[in-house]
This record gives sequence, C-alpha cells and structure tokens, in this order.
Amino acid sequence: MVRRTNDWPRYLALSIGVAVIGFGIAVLIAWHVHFIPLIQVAPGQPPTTRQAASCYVLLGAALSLLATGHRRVASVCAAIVFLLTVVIGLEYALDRDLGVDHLLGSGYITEGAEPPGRMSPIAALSYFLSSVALLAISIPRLARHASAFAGMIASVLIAVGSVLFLVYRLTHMPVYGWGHFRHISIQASAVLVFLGFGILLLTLKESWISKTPPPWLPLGIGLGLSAASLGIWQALLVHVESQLPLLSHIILAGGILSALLVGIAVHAAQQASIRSRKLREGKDAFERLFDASADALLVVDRDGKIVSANQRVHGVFGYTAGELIGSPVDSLVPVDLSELHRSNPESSLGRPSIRPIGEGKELFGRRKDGSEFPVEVALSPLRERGEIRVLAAVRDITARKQLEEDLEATRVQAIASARLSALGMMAGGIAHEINNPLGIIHAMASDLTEMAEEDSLTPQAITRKGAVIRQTAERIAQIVKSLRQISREGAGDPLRPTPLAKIVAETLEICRAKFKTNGVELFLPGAIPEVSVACREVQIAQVLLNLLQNALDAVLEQEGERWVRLEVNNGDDSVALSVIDSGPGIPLELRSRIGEPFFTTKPVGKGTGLGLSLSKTIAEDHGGSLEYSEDQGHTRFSLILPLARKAGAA
Amino acid sequence: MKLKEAAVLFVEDEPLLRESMGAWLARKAGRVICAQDGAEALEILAANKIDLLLSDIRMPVMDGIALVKKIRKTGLKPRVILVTGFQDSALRDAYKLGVDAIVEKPFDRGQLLRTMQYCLEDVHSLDA
Repeated sequence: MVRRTNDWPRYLALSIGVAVIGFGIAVLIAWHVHFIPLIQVAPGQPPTTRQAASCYVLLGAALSLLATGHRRVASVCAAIVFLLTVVIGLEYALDRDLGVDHLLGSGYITEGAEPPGRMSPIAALSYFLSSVALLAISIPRLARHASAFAGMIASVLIAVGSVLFLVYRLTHMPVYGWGHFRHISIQASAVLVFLGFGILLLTLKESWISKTPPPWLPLGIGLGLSAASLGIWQALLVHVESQLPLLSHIILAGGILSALLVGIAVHAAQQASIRSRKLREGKDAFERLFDASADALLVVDRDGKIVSANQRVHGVFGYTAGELIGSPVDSLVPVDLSELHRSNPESSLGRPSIRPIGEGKELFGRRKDGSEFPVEVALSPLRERGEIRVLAAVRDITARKQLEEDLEATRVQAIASARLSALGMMAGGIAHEINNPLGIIHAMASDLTEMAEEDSLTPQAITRKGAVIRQTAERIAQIVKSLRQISREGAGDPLRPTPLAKIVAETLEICRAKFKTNGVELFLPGAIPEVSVACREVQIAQVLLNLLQNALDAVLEQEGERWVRLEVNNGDDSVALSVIDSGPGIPLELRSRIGEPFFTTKPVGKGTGLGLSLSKTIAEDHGGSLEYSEDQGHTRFSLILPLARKAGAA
Repeated sequence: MKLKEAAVLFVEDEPLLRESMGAWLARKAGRVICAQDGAEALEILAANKIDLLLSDIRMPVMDGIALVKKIRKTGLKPRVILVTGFQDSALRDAYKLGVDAIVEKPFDRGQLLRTMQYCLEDVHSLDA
C-alpha cells in the first residue's frame, strides 16, 4: 500500500481500535480471573459485562481493520455486534432470556446488573449504532450517504459518551436511563467516546484528503450537542430531584437551541469558506485564462483607456502589456464603445453575452510598427473594482484570411483543371473531327490541281468542288468556334438567357466525333424545345460535355450494346437535360457518394472525380440541380435548370 | 505487280472523301472498289480478289484495326495501307498486325502513289 503523508487520521483510528480491543480483552480476562476492579470501578457501580467486553473486542477490531483497508473482515466483526445487540434489544422488549446473556460465562457480579450478564439497554443501543456506522463505512454501496450517516452516529456517540463520563465523574449519577433498567458503566462511556472518535476519523478521511469540511458536519455537531443536552438535562432532573424542573427544562431547551445555532453557524461558516475558495479559484482561473488566451485581451474603461492587457498583446500588436496601460484603445483597434455606453451597463452585465463588433465589415488593427492587419473583435462588459469596463478580445485573422483566399484560388483552379481535363479527353475526337474536313479540302484541291494539269477542268467541276471546299472550311470554323467557346473560363460571365438548342448544338459539335470513332451510338432528341435558360452558356455546355464524357466512359467498359441517349424535357418553369447510357448503372453503395469531390470509380489517370462535383456546383449556382436516377437499369444523370422568363411576359 | 494491274479496296466513311479519292484511284489503279466501313469491306473481300486494301483507321461500326484483324483470321493476304488522322495508341496495334504502311492525313497523292506501288512490288500476278 502506498503511504500517504496525510495519513495520520488513519493511524490514529487504528490506534484507538487497538486500544479498545486491548481493553475488551483485559475485561474478559478479569472476568475469568475474578479481578473485580477492572470489571467494576467501585462497589455499587454497574459492571462491564462479558457481552460488552466482547463487543469492545469486535468493534475495536472492525475499526482497526477499516483503518488498514480490510473492509470485508471489518464488516463481519461489525455484523456480529449488530446481531448481538439486536437480540439483546429483543430480550429487553420481550422480557425474555434468548440465551445470549451467559454465552461467555455467568455474570457473577449481580450488583447493579439486572438481569445478570446482560448489558444495559443504553449500552446495547450505543453498540448497535456503532456497528451500523462501521457497517456503513465497510459496505459503502449499502447507502448513498454512508459516510455522512456514520459521521453523525459518531458525533452522537462522542456526545453521549462524554456526558456519561462527566456526569459520573462529577455526581456519580447515572443518566440516559429508562425506568428501572440498569445503567451503563463508566468504562463503557469512555469506550464509547473512543469508538466515536475512531469512526469520526474514518469518515473524515476523505474530507481530509480533499481539504473540504464534510457537508454533514453542521448536522453532526447539532445532533451531538442535542444528545449532550439531553444527558445533562436528565442528570440535572435526577440530581435536583424535581426541585427545579423548570430550570432543567430551560437548560434542555437552551442546549438544544444552542446546538441548533451552533449547527447553523458552522454551516454558514462552511458555505462562506467554500464560496471564498471558489472565488479564489475563479479569480486564479480568470487570470490564467487571461494570460493563456490566444486572443489579445484588453480591459478598457468607459473613457476608452486601456486598464489592463494580457501577454498576447505583444504577439498581436508588438507592444508589451505595460506599454499599453493608459493609452487609448482606438490607437490599436477601432472599438466603438458608444453602444455599450448607451445601453444600460447593469443590464448588459446581467447578460454575459459576448458581442462581436463590426459584423459584415472588415476591421483592421494597427501594430506598433504602424502596419495594419485584419482583426475580429468581441466585446463583453465587465465589472471590475466597482467600475463598468469592457473586455475586448482581439483576434488576428491574417492567417485565416490568407487560407480563405488560398482555398478560393484552389477552387477556381480545380474548376479550370476539371474543364481542361474534360477537353483533353475530347481532344482526340476533336482532332479527328477537324482532320476529316481538312482531308476533304485537301482531296478537292488535289482533284482541281490534277484536272488543271490534265486539262480536264470544267466550270461545273470548279463550282462543285469549290462549294464543297467552302462548306467544309465553314464546318471547321464552326468546330473551332465551339472549341473556343467551351474552353473559355466562363465563371465570371453574367447569367444571360440562352437558347437551349444553341448550347446543345455547340457541345455536340465537340463530342460527336469521339462517339463516332469509339463506335458508340449517340441518340439525340428529334427536336430541342425552343426554350431559353438564364445561364453562363459556357458553364452549362461544360456540364453537358462532362455528362456525355462520363456516359461514353461508362459504356466503353462494357460488352454488348453501346449507346448514349440525350433527352430534353421541359416543364412549366424548368428544363431537364438528361444523359442516359447503356452502362450497368451505379452500384447502390456508391450512389450516395456521387458528386463528392475526387470520388471516382474510373481507373487511375482516367477521371479526376472532379467532374460531377463541379457539375453539381455549377448546376446549383444556376438555381438548378444535378440528379441521378435509374432508367430501366441504366444510369440517368439529369441537369435541371430553371427556364428564363420570356421577355415581355412580365 | 504494277498498280495499274492491281485491285484496290478503298474504305472511307466520309462520303465526299470516298467519292473524290475513289475517282482519283480509279484513274491510277487497275480496279477500285469503295466501302464505307469495315463490315462492308469484309463482304467485298470475301467476294472479290483484292491486292491492296487502303483503309481509314477511325470509322464507325468496324474500324480499320478491327477490319485488319478479321482479314488476318480469314487467311486472305492483301497488302494493307492504313490512313490515320493522327498518331495514337491504335497505331501500335496496327504495326503488330503487320500492316504494310501507315499514311497520315492529309496525304500527298504522289506520296501515296509511291507507297502503294512499293507495297505491291513483291506481289505477283496470279498467272505468274
């Protein structure tokens, strides 16, 4: 067991326990060897019975065992005393010998001992209470307030024992007696005081460690004093033989009243001590927090002068705390105290709310070197030394601002890279798409040259082939225009009503070739409704291109039929562009992750996982949505956009 | 074998190109048949003796690479020239399949003539 320096209550309790055991054993031996002085202090006095002596041994043992931490054995000792005293109680109640009076031998001293061998009722009650207190300590789970219970019993035991002892010493009068029953011996009263102290020490052990007086202390003192008053009252009553009953009643009432008052006073003192400790702790905690705060904290008086500042001000403003005392807070941060002045300071003190200032506008602090930096300031009213002051918490948000800017830059970059990645994937198709018409022009030009060389050039041939060259060149121009359009940044464009058909046509211009060369059939709607959407055309085309690219990737991985279908369905105020593919659909467990940035099922190098996430963002920016659904086992992604209000309709 | 004596199959999905090139080839080669995709080309190959196959790589239905693979399976051994819009990974497959030449679009017709002639050099006429 680890020895604690503050263990003296335990050792004292152990010593008391051992002393009580010793006395009990001594009395038992005295009975055996007929050594009367140890049993009966004076002729005519009640003897210490064998029963009482064995109770001393058992209670002393329980006390010692508890002091050394042997709860289980202690509880057994206390339980034996408990049972014994209960049986004795029954004997008195039923006026019968239940066979416990002569267990350890006959009580041959009958003087003042009726019936012989049986302990007095007051002794039985005291040992009963002692055993209950020791049981409560040894089995704490029996009762929630075991230690308070035991402590109060201990107080009563001490009081009763002391009064018994004192009255015996002074007047030789027995007290706490009932009717013709015999009284407790003087030795027993001394043992009670010892036992009471021992139990009290055990109950105080925890309080001793935590340095707080136990909450039940006032009640214990009150009970103890009341019990003492009761004994004194009885002694007086017997002593003056009813000559002055009024006086003794007054003494009893006064004793109980004073016990009550002492109890209340001790309680109040205890509360005050707890409060002052809490206050001290609170003040300490406040000071520690004040200096440990990551924010610069300034206490400002009503004139805007800095009264105190924490260590952090040096890191934030470059001034030491000492340099700032007395200077106006305005030189550091624009703190507008007028609102606090206007409002009733008492009422604002009642609300411990912290009010951020400058919400919605940017605040700047000024360092010692004159440089400015973005800050956040929170004000809270404070009562200090009877004055209303303001605690201003100033936070340097330079790093956060920088992070926000970086994050925004990253986002813009991600959109750009996702766009370029989609374009890159289409690039192969675009090259083919341009190369084919180039081939046609080349072929037509070659035909014309050869015809000229062979002298077989006819005006019809020139007209026809010239027309093909012109049309084909126009086709190339259209492709290039779409490419330039769709590869533009577009994020900064204003929302502009754009015919849906135009967007679809431009997007298809770029990706049609890719579908063709991969042998994937692209089904298009017969006619695209003549509706317009208020949008950034480039962004919507990018979303559509992305959906088509995803659909193409999905069907390329599979055997059998490969097709992608584009559908356009318009309602009263919205239009849905749906891309359906012949792919196997998205597994149930992955559906919830659609649209998460960087989530992709494509092999490394094929998709960034940004496409759907950004498409979703773009759709939502336009007041629309991007929805996934299943279409007869196939994947369907629908871009839903609000329709632009027709001009003149309003 | 001279180009003038050879039977050439030209596969191209773009109608205008097919028409223009078909007419030009007809003046240069012995016999010219045109097809619009790999599937049609296979049918023609099965029904006609073809000495030289000139095919685009990227086509719908059956592309040039798939067409050559099918031809290799049939045991027919025409000389093969593939025409491509640009260098890409499909070309690796093409070389593995043992095509005779790959021509990039747009091509010079004189250059193409020389390539075709070169491919046909060690081909002997049936009667030889």
